[in-house]
Amino acid sequence: MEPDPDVKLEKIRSKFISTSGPVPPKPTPNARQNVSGDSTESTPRPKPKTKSKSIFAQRMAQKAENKKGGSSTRLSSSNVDITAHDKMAMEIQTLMQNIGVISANETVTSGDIIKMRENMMKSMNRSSLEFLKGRGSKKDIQRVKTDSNEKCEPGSMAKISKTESETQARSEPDIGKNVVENLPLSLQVKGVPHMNSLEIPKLEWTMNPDDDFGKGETPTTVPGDIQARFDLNGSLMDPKVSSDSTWLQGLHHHGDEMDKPGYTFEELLIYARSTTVSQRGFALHALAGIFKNSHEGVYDAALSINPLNLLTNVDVISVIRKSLDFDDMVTLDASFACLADVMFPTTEEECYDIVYLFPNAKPFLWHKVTNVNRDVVKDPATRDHQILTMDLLLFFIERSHLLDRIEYLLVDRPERVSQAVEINILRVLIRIARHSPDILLQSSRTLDRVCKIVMTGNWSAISAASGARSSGTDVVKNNPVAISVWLALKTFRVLVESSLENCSLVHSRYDIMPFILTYLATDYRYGLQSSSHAKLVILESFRFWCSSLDLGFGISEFNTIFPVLAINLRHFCDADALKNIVGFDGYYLAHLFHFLRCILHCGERGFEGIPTPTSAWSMVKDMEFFVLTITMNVLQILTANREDWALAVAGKGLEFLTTALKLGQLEHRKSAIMEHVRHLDLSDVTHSLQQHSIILNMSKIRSRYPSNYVSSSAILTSTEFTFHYGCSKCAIKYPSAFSLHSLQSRYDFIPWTVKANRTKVDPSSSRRYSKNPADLKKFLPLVIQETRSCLYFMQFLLLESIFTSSGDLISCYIHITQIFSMGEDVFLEPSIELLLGNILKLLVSLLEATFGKEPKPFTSFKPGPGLEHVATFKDYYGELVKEFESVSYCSNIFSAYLLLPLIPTESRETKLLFWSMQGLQFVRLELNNRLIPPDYLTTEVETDRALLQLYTILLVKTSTINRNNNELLFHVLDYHVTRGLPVEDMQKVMKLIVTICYGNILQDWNNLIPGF
Amino acid sequence: MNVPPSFDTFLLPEGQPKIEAIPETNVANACKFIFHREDHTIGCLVRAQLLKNPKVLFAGYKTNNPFESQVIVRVQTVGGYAPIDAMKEAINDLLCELAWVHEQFQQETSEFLIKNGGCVPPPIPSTIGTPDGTPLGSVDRAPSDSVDRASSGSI
Repeated sequence: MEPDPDVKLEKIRSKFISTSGPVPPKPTPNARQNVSGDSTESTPRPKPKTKSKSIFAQRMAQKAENKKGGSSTRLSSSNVDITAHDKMAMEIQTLMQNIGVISANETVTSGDIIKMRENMMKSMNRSSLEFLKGRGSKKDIQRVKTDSNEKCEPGSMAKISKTESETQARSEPDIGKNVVENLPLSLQVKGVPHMNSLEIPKLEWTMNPDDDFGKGETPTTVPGDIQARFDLNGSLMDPKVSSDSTWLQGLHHHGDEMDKPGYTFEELLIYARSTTVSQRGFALHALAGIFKNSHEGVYDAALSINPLNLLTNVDVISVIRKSLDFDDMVTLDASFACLADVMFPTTEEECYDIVYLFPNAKPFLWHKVTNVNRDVVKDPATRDHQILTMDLLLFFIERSHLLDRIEYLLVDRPERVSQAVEINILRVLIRIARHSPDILLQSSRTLDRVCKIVMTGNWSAISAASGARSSGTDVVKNNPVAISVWLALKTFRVLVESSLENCSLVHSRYDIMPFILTYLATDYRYGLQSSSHAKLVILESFRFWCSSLDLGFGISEFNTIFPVLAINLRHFCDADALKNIVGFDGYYLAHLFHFLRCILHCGERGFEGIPTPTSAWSMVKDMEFFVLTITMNVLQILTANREDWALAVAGKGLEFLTTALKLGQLEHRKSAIMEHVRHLDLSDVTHSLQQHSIILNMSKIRSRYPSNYVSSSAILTSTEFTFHYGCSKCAIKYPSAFSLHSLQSRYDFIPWTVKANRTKVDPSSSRRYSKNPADLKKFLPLVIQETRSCLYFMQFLLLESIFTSSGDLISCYIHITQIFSMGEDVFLEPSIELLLGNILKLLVSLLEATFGKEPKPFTSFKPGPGLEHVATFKDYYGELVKEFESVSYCSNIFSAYLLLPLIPTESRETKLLFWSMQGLQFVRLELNNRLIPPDYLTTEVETDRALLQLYTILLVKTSTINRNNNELLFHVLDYHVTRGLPVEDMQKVMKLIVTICYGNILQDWNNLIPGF
Repeated sequence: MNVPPSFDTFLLPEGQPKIEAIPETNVANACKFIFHREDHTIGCLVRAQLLKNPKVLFAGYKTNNPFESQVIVRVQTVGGYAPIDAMKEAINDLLCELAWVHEQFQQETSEFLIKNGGCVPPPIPSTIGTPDGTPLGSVDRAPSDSVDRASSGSI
């Protein structure tokens, strides 16, 4: 029975689709052979291969069998006896054959192909042609349908067959990759398929006829073009998504690659200059999304080049800048969003805000632009692209009149500035303030307007904004008024942080403090719980005030706010309240502690014009109890709760307590604090903090500006800079600073070793310092400051008896004596000398208590972690002795430290190193010096004969040591020789003295041996 | 690698003083002397000579790096006696002492040669010699001179 033609054709089609997706496979040789003899006889044919027949071929063979015996012309293409569908199928089959033959035969020339194609065109039915054309994607079918009305010309067919052969050639290697191709885009690591063929003529109509672009010139050349298409939000388009699914999203277009939806980067740049408002709007919006995603590293896996790298291109920048000059609100909105997303990486700014919470991080966050010569920038001979390679922000500030434009918009055309534009402008201003605060301060009209934002955005406005939207669930978080106020405050904070002059300028020009007080005085626990941005205003107010306090401004306002803060603090003292604490409360407390500490610091430093005993200090003192209670409670829960806020509260609380401790206000509570802190597993705590602090350092999260852009990534990569400002140490400093502050001072073991490594301990870096005196001179203040801090910390550790074992004490000794090898500039500095003296006294008492009768404690010491550069103590001591000989200037401190290991139980080698040095006469310590008591060296009589002989020689034969200059040494030698030397040796000594007959020595000897 | 050229160890750059004196700011009556293009030979000698002076409280020397041909001598003296004076005195004493050593050496050599019937070598121009006999400041010239002499003798 004859099968239904429709079903048959459907099966054929399904067969095509099932074997190789949308592209039909080549006909198998068997099928070709079955029908070839009748259709095109002139064509040379390859020999049939013995291969199992495909279903299609079997069907065709079966059909041929059925028709056998009938008229042979029935199989011809022009026969009308068979049904139309049958005929069509046969025609297709023939065509496939021919294509297969053409592609298989390598000797066929292009002329032959065209000829054959002409023949085929003539012989083929239009409907067959239509089917063939439409056998790809639906989009192709549509295209063919539109074309089918026209006459099929040879040229157009050439195009079709070309694409056919291309798709076939492409499909062949892909057959095995079907599984891979069906996977989502994310598997494609680099290089999204090339989809950026730009058709300028198609875009010409968008241009202004007066513009050059409209005249067919290539408008934008982007080197290293981004080979991808983006949707309207800047997300990457999946290359396999067809236009159909994105039709409604407006991503289809009528270019060459109309089956591939989305827009290329270049297209977006052109649309951003379109004369049509909506085109500009969507293009800028998409560009903003692209830059935002680039900062967050969204494209890292897919694109070989980061779009941010294109910011050095003048064309790209000029598109962004020119878009700011359009007057309609849609473009303004989109263009400022784009500019803000270029300049203001949200992640990085969040990082700054988080890190602000932690000690010691603040000064190192932003690279001060001092190395850029602004005269060069102002010079008209300097080209734009040269400035762009130097510094992107500088270009915007110096060359593009960006600040003028912002000023015009904010001040002269405020009706044009919507809330969103205002927010984006503020984001831009924050970045400019970080980059060039002085220049921003010059544009006073802009800042007046920013100040007005702070003033008008009071709580009632913020509450109204949050209340108005409170009906929704998610929109509550978006409080534009609060965001504006927050960003405006942040702008001022950045300006205040920049320098003392700027700070005083801001405070004299703008009266912000009353508004800060208003924000802080509000009891945030009522009414504003839902709006996170409103809470940001509170935190930012704290930050602004703290930054001002750091420079001595805003101290008098504290009296006003004190009651509110006290009430809030007291609220959290309750243990139950601490259980119910949420993230924001934690950050609030942390900021509050930081604020209180700033007040204390302010008093400590005694700024000009502020009377030292202010009532503020006594008030802070009253708050100590609250802080102590809260910190203790938080420390107790810290082991279980490792959230950021808990760490922040604990860190800031301990920091405050540390300051209070240092100022002597908490003396009676010290042991209680220490008890808590000591029980903390600090390494564990700091580890999680480190996780957090690394945020600036981690490649996945950190900002992705090109290195010419001044930002944290630039700082982190620039080694010279890190050495000077220690910014890359931010990540190291920041956890360690926590543990340091939690103990007492700024430095812990971690930075101690880090810093020691950086300065002297590490052999490679130590040479850098000592070898080059200019280097040391350059960094001397920094080195002295760090050393002082380290010593403070060591002193504290010794005071609190945290070192108990002899190993700890000896490693402490080695750490401290490394300061001597840093040169006389460091250890002769009065404050360091004083500290070294204090530490020495502590060390002496501890060593006396610890060692007792332990034999050779120093010689048997094995250097632990942090002292890898010290092989043995003997080697180290030898170097120290050499250092003493060459740089000590008879320093009493150095001499005393050198004498420290010479306890009676110490090995002979160590003692020999000291007593045989040439610079022994430089040890000019008196007997009753306050550094090292004589008893420390004379608890036991020396029994070693070789040493005793050496002592005798030193005393008698040479005049190296005499009673007048080296009183202590003389006493020690005298003690050992008179008591330790055997009788027979003593007689020899007598003879020696008589023979030598040196007057002064004889005098000494007379005293030494009574009756001589 | 980073080894400086060999002439860098003795050839003083034009315009650079041989000795620089840097007063210490932290210590009274103390001064740092930098001897350019010198090494332990001079450092040790000067230091030893300085220490013979009872008015010198401290005298130490140090080379920052073996590749850096400079010696830093630190001197501290008693009040009323400047370190520069001490240094001048020490150098003068050293010159005298070395001249005396040189003279003695010459004398002994000539006596030895006369005794043994040899001829007296021509006197070396009166430069100050280092302890090993090499004239100061002519380290590079000494070997070539001897070669010249040897070759002329053979002719």
